[in-house]
Amino acid sequence: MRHSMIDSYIWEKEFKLMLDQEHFEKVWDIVESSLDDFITLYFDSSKNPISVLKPKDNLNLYIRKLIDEHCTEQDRYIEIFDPELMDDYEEDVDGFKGEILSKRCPVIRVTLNSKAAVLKDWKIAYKLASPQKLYDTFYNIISFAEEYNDDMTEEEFNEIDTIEGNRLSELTEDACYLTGVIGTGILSNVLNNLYPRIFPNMFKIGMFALYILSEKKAIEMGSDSSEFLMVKDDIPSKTGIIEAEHNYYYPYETFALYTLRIYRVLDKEIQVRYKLKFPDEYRFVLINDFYKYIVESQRKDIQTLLGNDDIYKFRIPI
Amino acid sequence: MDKYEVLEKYFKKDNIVSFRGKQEEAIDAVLAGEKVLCLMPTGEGKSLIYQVSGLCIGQAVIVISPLIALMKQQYNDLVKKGLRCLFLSELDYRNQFKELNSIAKGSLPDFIFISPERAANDGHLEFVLNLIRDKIGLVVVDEAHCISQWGEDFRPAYKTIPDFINRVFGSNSWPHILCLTATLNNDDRRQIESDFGITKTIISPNLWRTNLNLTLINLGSIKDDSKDDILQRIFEKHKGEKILVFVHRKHGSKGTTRTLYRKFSEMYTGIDFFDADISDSEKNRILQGFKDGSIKIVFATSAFGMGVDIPDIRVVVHYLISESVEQYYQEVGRAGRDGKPAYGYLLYTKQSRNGRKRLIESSLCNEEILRAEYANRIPRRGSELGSIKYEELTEERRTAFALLIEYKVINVVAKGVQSTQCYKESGNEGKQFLKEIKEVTATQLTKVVCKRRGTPINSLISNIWRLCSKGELSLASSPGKAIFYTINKELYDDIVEEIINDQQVKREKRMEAFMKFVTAIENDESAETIVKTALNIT
Repeated sequence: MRHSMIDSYIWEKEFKLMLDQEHFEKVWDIVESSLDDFITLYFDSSKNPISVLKPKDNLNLYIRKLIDEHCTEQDRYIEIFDPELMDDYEEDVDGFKGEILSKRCPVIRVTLNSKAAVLKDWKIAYKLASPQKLYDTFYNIISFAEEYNDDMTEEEFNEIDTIEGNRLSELTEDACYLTGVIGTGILSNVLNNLYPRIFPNMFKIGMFALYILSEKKAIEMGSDSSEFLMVKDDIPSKTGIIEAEHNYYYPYETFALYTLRIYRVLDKEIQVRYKLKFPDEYRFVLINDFYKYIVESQRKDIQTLLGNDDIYKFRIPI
Repeated sequence: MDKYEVLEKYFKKDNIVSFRGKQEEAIDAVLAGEKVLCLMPTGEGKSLIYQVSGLCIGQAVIVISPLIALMKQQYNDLVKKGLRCLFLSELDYRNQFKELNSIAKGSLPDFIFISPERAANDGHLEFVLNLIRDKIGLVVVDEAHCISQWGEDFRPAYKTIPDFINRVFGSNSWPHILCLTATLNNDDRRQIESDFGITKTIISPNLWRTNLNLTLINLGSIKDDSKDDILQRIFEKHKGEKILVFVHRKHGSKGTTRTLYRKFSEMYTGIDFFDADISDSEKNRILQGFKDGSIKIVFATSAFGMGVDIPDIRVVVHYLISESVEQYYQEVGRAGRDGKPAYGYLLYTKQSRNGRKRLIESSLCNEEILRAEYANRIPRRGSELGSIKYEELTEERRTAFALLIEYKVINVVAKGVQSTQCYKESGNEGKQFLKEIKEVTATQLTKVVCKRRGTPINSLISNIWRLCSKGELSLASSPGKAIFYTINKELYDDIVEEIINDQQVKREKRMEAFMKFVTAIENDESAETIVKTALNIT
């Protein structure tokens, strides 16, 4: 997408396409065809294997490591977003914003402390955001997540194969976003940390990974730019080149379906090659790692897109 | 030690062997127990008055000052003399905590430098100073003109300094008081005298700096762009000398600190710009460079602060007309503090007059900001207690907040921390305290604790400070400071009207003073006449 086309007819058309199943399948065909090579490289890449162990055991160790790392971070989110505590926070929404979110919620804390120039507007919006609205938004997020997790059996989850089918569009209906402040980046980070079984993390790395997997093509996009990117064609950059970011407006429900299908391919591959089953409870932890691998393998290209001189852009979590 | 012994011991190395002008009279007045307001031009040694007075009294001195750069300078000078000083703004939160606890246990520095905002909002500092109030001998309010809402330099927190002193010492037990400033008109003076109960006002007869050669250049209706040619001619005339150019605007397409810096750095080396948006480390670098002479020309806003001690600035240029004669004289007074001839040029155009008028018209608080701030302050969902992180407020919101307090719409009940999560136990009492907090609510938010227990927030906060001072609690992480308040009354239309009318009166007064300045320039009066008339200098 192109930033200069925000609110234009082309923009609206492109946005509709991102939610369209037919268009999704066209893009998926290309993504799927790219997957094999990346999966092979992912499994063959060094994961600090211990030479005396068999590949299966090494992979098992690696999976354990991924899950342990996730759990350490997960604990921090569980501690603060316990549904019972959400009722307590209602009595001090200023404290919720100032202490709980700003200082103890990892994704918000790290983003607030980041020196990346691209986050300047977000930081201002966050500082000005009403504590009550922030509380209400997070209350809605946590309530939604708890209910979704309770209702979504593995059986039902395994049946999901359409954008509508994952019901993540309900996040919008349930007021789980706060414009300019709590977008899909933060939202998905929190959800993925709390419930990695059912919620993928739409962090920027995931978007860049899909950009790479879709062969960096503009598929049916009137602006002739990838739907996974936001080309900042009307914003002057320090480097003088037109920079791009991930498309932070991308619908979460569509991203989730790509991620789920990629997971299924990856999971099947692990079972075939290694006779291992990645724990369903942490399924999207695997994809987080896979996405990171894909982007890391093309780091230079991505950094050029981002504008090389701002090295902090690459490291921020949302 | 008497004042001569102090001079001998601490100031002889700086070649200060005797007092100048009104210094001795001011010191004597302070030591005699008068509450003193001292007006002395820049460069005449106001700092020496409080330093000698403080050392004579032999107890700790609190110096309240508006600018970090200024405090840093004075702090460094005193430390070089072997005196124990504390400059809280320079320390990280752990060291601040450590120093405050040290003070609570009786280990006092000779001089404690704090900003007016810290005095107004740091509950831990206030608690600790109150504990050892009998060991504080003198409170100094530097650049006291900032208290005046009549002027551009107004800082809302300055207005609360008398309340701070009351809370620390009690309303009938103030220590020695010394207010210092270089420029003050009669209205400002009356306000300070009233707010601080001043019993002796000492005015230097040398308010007119004879070493300053001031030129007002009336360029009439020419566009501001043409000022650059004049500026260049001034640079050429004073090549190699230190030149400070007051621009008063940071951002815009022209005529700002940054645009002028970019333009002239193509022609000259040793040139820089200084405004509120640059980092503290950048500010220090530029000040140091200007001091040592590696930087010769600086484009600055009024952030190039009051009292910065660079004695050999030879030229001050006002690219944009100042808001008032006081501000003009204050700023041009940065030049020639070494007593040698120095020059001031004010480049006046009608265009810049209009620009300055717009700034005045949009200054102070308007109804929209006031009502918005009040709406933001209403505690949520039926709670009586609100909280705010003062450092997150913009300047205009701070002004609005201060007005809501001044007009008793809002009542500040405690200055503390939002959560006890930042503390860890260091003793049994601390351990018990934190255990009980967690049992009330796992969130450890102080407001929630108080609501659940039904106890006042100030009592919980005081207990936290007490336990910190006793060493029962230490810091695990950075404390999230907050001001807790209640709403006393609704912001009715009549209160809004009263506040806005008051603001309007002040705005008009500032506009009146500015237009008098402008008229005098347009009538080609000399700078000397204008300054002497406005500041009652004979």
